[in-house]
Amino acid sequence: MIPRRIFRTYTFRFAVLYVLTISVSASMISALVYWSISHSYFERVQQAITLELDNAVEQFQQTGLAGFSAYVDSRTSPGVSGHYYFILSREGSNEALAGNLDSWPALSSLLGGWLSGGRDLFDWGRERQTHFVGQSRVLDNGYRILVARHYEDVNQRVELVATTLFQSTIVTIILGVIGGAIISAGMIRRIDSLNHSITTIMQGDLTERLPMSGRGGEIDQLAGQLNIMLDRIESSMNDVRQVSDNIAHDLRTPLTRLRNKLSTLEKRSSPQNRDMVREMLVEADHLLSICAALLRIAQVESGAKKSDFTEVDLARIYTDVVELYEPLASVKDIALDMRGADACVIQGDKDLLFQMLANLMDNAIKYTPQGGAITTVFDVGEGELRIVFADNGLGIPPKKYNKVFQRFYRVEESRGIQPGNGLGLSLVQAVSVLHGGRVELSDSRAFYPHSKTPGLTVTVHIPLVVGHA
Amino acid sequence: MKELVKILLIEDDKQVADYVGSGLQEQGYSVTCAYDGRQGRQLAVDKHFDLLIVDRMLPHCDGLTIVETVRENGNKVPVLFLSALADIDDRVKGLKAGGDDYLVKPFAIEELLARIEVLLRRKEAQPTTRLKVGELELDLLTQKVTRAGKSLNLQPREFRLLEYLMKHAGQVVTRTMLLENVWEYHFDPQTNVIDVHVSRLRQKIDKEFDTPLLTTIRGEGYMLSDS
Repeated sequence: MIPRRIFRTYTFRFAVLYVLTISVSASMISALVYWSISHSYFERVQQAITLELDNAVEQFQQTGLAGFSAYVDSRTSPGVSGHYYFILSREGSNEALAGNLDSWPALSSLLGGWLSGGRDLFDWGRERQTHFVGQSRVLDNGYRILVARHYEDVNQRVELVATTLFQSTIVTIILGVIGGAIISAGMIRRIDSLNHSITTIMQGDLTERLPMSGRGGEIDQLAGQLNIMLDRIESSMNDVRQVSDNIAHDLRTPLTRLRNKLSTLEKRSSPQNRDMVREMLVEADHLLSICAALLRIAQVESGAKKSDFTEVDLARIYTDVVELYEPLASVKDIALDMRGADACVIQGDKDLLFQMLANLMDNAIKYTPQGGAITTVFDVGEGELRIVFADNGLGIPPKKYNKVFQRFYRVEESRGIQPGNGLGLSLVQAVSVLHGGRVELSDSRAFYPHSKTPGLTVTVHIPLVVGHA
Repeated sequence: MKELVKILLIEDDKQVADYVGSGLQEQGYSVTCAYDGRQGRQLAVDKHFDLLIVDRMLPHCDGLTIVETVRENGNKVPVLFLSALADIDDRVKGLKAGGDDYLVKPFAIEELLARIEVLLRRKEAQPTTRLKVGELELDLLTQKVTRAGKSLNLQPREFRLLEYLMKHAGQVVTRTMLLENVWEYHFDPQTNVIDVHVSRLRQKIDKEFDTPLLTTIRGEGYMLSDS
């Protein structure tokens, strides 16, 4: 996954830029080094030639032809470094009067009075491609002297330098690419883990925090800042929740008193008033049930119930719930298909789990039209168990799947049609989270492929920490 | 009869105590109130009562300790705990300490009255394998139910529902009591799910007969009786 994505990342583009910069610099440095080394080599060759020419001219002027020949012999004998060629001839004639060349060669001029030639003009005694540079001087008495040196060795050394520089440049670029890739991969991994955490947090687990590597780099700083931001958000969310829980708590006692007084009033009121008092009683009961549900959710979310966990057979609870609601389904002519329930013991809270499944079953029956169908599944799988409630009712639009878990959220279509306080699924989620699980919504195509309405499938996943019996 | 029933109410919240006290007096019970744990324990140990209603959280001496003290003295008086704590753990602790029932605050006064009735009657109940209400008979051993000699075919859950109703014949039984005792779950049904079970049972025991035995008490619950 990373290798494909790597090319699109900002980090990778940064790394490419960095490799390019390094390559250009390395090439420029190599070129400069090459130029200065080769220049200094050739300069030394030229200096040596000039020196040889000075010496040869001096010998010729002082000791004549014989002295010149002796000098040439001494300079070209085996063991003397460098490969020098000397020739003495009259001006205007190519005939060699002395030296180790047969005739004055055809030469092309270079800058600064330097001459150059190739192997074709000379027979060097050895068959190989070679070049030489030389310098000639015309003397006062009509003679001229040429001193030349082939520069094959210099060329070889310069080539070696060029090759070495070229190879180092390539190695630099390769190392740069590898380094860039490693850095990108590292960055991608860190940013991926940040992204993963942020996704979890966005899905509602506000207690999650971004991971810190502890090296104190700028990503750590960023993560730290985001964590502080999350702390603030979490604490203000908690404040809001706390306030609503407090309201629910404080309203409960006066509401109960109100309800009890209404109940006394009901018994004392005249028959014509009794119905109205009864309606008021129903309203009061509704308010009380909202308070109770809110407080129960708050209690579940606090995680305090976890200390009361005991071994419970969830399959038994599942069967009890379905059995409890079966008559309600049959009143609505709903075809109820209950599947599978082998004993499955988990650590949990019996009453909360019952309430959770009861809420789901209750919803399924509420939102399935007369004559509809509901399938419930209890499926023990690898490391987790799945409890499914699938109906073929109207369903809810997928984009609202996340919202239905919010407190008091009710899908608009259901408002007014069905009684309810919009807290049922909040509790379902809170209870599943308390048991380390999660709730998933989808449509019911898998169960009712031929249904005209999408239906709603609620799946509760509960991890099996303790092996099932 | 009811003038003789004496109830001790140990509750530190005066408003609750007054409300519950007057509700009980209206029903003809004689009520003594204690507003803290120490006074409550003194009264419970020294005097005779037919029923104790004890708040879990009390100043000086909590409800659990009071009931434990009472039970240590060999007093078998029925005890109903009141509590703002709804945890099962607390419920279990309360029942272990010797409580007979547990009601979470806030509650409807009908719920409390129904439970008190049940607790007071329990004392009189004789262990039996046959329950009889009018012409309706239920045999716990053979699991057979008959009405006027005619055999009725009940599902296991309907059988337990009927058994509970028959054991509390003549008393109001609330929906919560049925959930707690027949289904053995403490939970808050959003819908009339219990009503559907009861009406199914009613179909079976009352439909073909002239006098209905199972009646709905509006706003309170159900009652099975032959009157």
